[in-house]
Parts: sequence; C-alpha cells; structure tokens
Amino acid sequence: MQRLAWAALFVAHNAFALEAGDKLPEVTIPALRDSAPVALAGFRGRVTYVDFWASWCVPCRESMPLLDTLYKRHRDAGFAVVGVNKDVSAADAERFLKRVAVSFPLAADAKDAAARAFDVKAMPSGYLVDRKGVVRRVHRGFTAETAASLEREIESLLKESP
Amino acid sequence: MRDAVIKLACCALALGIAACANVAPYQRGYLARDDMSLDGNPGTAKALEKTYAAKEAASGGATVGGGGCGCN
Amino acid sequence: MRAALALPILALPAKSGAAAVGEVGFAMLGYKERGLMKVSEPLIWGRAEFAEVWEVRGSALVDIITGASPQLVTNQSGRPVQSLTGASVRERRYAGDLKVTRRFGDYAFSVSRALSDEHDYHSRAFGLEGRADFNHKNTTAIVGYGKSNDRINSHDDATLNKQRVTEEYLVGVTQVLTPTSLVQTTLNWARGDGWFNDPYKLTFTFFPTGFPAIVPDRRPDHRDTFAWLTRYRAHFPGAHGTLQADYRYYHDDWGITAHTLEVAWQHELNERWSVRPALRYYTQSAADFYSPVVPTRPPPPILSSDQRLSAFGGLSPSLRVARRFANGILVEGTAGYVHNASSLRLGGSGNPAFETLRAVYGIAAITYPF
Repeated sequence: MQRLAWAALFVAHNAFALEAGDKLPEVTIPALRDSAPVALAGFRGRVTYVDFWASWCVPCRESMPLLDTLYKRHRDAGFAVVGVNKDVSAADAERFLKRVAVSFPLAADAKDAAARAFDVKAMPSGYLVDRKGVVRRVHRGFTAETAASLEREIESLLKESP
Repeated sequence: MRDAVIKLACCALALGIAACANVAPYQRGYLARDDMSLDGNPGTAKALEKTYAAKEAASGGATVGGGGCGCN
Repeated sequence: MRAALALPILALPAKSGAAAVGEVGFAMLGYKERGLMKVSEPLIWGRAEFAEVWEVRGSALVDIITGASPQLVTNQSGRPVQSLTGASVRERRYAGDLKVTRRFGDYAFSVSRALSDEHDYHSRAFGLEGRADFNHKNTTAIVGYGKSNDRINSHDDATLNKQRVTEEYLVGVTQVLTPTSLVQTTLNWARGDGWFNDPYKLTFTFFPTGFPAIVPDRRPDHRDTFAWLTRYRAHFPGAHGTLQADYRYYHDDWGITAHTLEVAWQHELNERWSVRPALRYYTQSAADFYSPVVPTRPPPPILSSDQRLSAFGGLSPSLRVARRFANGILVEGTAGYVHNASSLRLGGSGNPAFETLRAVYGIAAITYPF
C-alpha cells in the first residue's frame, strides 16, 4: 500500500506545476492555532499571498518577517497573506513563531493536501493571487530579489478591480 | 531527461531498498532534524575525531584535507 | 513617481540576505587510559551562513597530553610486552581548521585549510570539495581532493627532520530514501609518500644465543589507503527516535584490512531531553611488517612492533545525553569506554602480544545558535 502511495507521488509530482495564469486551488486547510479552518475561496476580492513555510526552512527566517511587514502595510487596501505551515508537528512551528512572530492567518498542512494541490516544488513557495482568484506570480525560494519585486507586484495587483 | 537518468541511477544504487521514493521538497521536515544529520554536533564530533583514530590503523571517511598529527 | 514607489522598499527590514545565521560552540574532552596516557582537549568551533550563498565554518583546539606512552616492546621477560621508558610525557598540540563554501544554485564549492602543531609534528593540509544536488535535492554527489604536508621531528633526536606528503581523493553520494530516511556512501583513497616511522618506538628482542637486537621502528616510505564509508539515518516518529548506523571498510597496501561499525539510537524523551546510547565495534588485521619481536638476524629492513599495526579488535559503548533550551542553546554530555583487545578481533586470531587498552572519555559540549 505504501509502495503504491510513493508511486502515485512519484507520478503526480511530474504531472503539473501550479504556474502564473492558473486558477487558485480553492482548498480548505486546518488552521494552525484556531479551530476554524482556513478556506482559500474566502479570499476572493482581495490580493492574496499563499506562502508555504516551515521551521526547518532557512530562507523562511527572512521571508516571514518581510511578509508580516507587507501584510500590515497593505492590509487595509485589500492585501491578505496565508502562511501554510509544513511542519510535521505544531510544536516545531510554534518554536519558530516565538522567534519570528507574524500577524497574518496561519494554516497547518501536515497531511500535505494543500502542498499537493499547489504542487509545491521548493521551500518556501509563495503564490501571489489577484482579486479574481488567478495566480499571477509564483516565487520559489526566497532571495533579496524576491523581497525587492514582491512589494511592486502587490501594489500593482491592488490597483486592479475585483 | 537528466532527471530521469538520475532517478534510474538512484534506484540502481539503492539495492534492496523497497521504495526509491522521490521525496517532495515540502516533506523534508524529518530529514532536517539534528539527529538525521550525517555529521552530528560539530563540537562533539571534532572532539572524538582523534580519540579512536589515534589507537587504530584505519583512517578516512567522508571528508578530505584533514591533516595529520603525531598522536602518540 | 518611481521614487515614491522605491521608498517603501528601503523601509523594509534590512535583514533580507544580510543577517548571519549560525552557531558557535565550546566542547571539552577528557580522555584517560588505564596506566598510560591522559588527554584534555578544550575546543571551540563555529559555523555561519550569510549573504544567502556563503558558509564559513572553523574550529580551534588544544590537546594537553600527559602521562606515558609505550616506547619499547621487549621480550626480556620471555614474552614481548610494552615497556614505558623515560620520563612521562607532557605535550601540547594546537590545531585549527577553516572551511569556506560558496553555493551556486544546485552546486556548491568549498575550500578548506587545516593546521596541527606539536613540538615534534607539524601538519598543514588543504582540501577542495564540490557538491551537486539533483532530483529536488533528493540526491547529492560530492567529490573532493586534499593534500597534507607533514613534518616530523623528535625530541630525542635533534637532527631528525623528515617530511611526508599525502594526497587524498573522495567521491560520494547521499540519497534520500523516504521522508524519514537517507543513506550516504563515500569512497576515499589516499596516497602517502615520505616518512612514516615512529621516532620513539623500538623493538628490543633477546635471542636464545648471541646479543639482543634493538631495532628502531622502520616502515615503508609509501602508503596507499582505501576507505569505504556508508552511513544510514532513519527516523521513527512512532518510537520517538532515530537510528544512526555507520560502517567503514578499510584496506591499505601495508596489509591492513579493518572494519568499523557504529550503531546508535537517538531517543527523544521529550521536547527538551534526548539520550543516545551507541556501540562501536572495530577490528583490524596486522600490517605485513608488524612483529612484536625481531624475527630474523640480521633484522628485516622494515619492521614495527607498534601494536596499533597489529591484529586486534575493539568495543566502545557510549552514552550521550542532550538538553535543548527554549532559546535554542544545546548542552550535550557524552561518556564513553574504549576496550581494545586481541580477543576482540573478528574471527579470533588477534596478536597475542597486543596489550589490552582500557580507556574512558567524557565530552561536555554547549552550542549557541544565532
């Protein structure tokens, strides 16, 4: 049974990759801390950044504070961030969040349903979605260039009407 | 093409292993654990480096350029 | 208009790519042999990643060696035994190393330098290493080259000034097997040319008739070695632990074949505490020119009675206890026992002249992440 699952993953990972122009997979992911799950369909009308992160992901130590700053700055204009955690245990995620506190909603994808739906290919992976629910930009990994261009991209998408 | 060749080579290499799985980038949580590292805590590993080697004839491992010692 | 857009970016946390991430640590090793040598070794080490593509790691240590080291193998009593002659040893060894790595996407290149200085032994080495990731980092290949220049002197003989050059090559591959296990296998060849003799060791043999022979340690001026190391790590979330198993096969052109097997289980008691019991087994065959007595008259040109070249086996259990604090600081304590004996050789037939070595060691280590 396990062998079948691995084979399926093997094939699935080559099948497709979520790219700019694709529709946002409107999955519902359990929340990291609250009991109410996070439904991505509910973010229609806002510019959303879906970010896959984990405590063991080294660039996340820089991407998470940056996303928090951008979230606070553009929240009123309709910008939202969803941090999807890929740690196997919530305790690891919490240890990371003690050092890097964020204010945007956090989801826990321990069972990989969301990661598979987005076909995440790198950690971290960020999907910038416009107000109509279309993925406009995919950031794989996080570097100084990502930081530089991200705010420009957000501001340009915020100008678009829902 | 290159990826396919590498996968074939890795499956050939992993003799007797039931599943030559392709682990996704987001599934590396367990692999990132300290106890899964190959070298262990650098301080303790360094301290142990000569402890056994100074009493044995065998040498060599996973690194190069380590240099020697009198180690009598 | 562009300037107004640029300003918010400047106000973003300047940390992007600029902050260094890493650790610094201290460790202290205490090692004591029964009746022989004692070593204290304080050491400091560090590792830092910065600017997204650079990593620097280094360490420095001092070996403070006291006690005695066998200098002579004599059969005066009828059987060959090790004998400690002369005053007890008081030695210091200073060593340091530095490794710089630069990442280029899926590839990385490293340069390293190592130094070791004692009163009678100076070593300078450098290493080059290349690493490549394939298959979404499921497979990693490494190649390496190293060269070591050693200078050997003697505090018994001021005129002794010898050299040895060793070149080594490494190829290896690391493969992720499942989300909870991985394996690494590496092949390591080394070729040494120069002085291999131990300047302090002698073989003192009495014959039934005639004068006894006193022969200094004389080894070949060349050594080719081969080591194949395989390391396996597997985490068992249900059992709250990780299995760590290492096996090394060694062979050289001095006739020595050795096997090393170490198996450990790192067990998580809870979020803070972990224990790691481990058992290491070692076995080696004797060098072709090893003999605890001078075998012929006149003595052979190549001869050593250094029991580190004889046939023996060793068993070493150890236990490590670690505590991780909330701020990330890690404190580790390790205790180990080393028992090398002729009877422990795989398959029996260890050299009867091998004198059992019994030693204990303890390591205290602390790591500060930043």
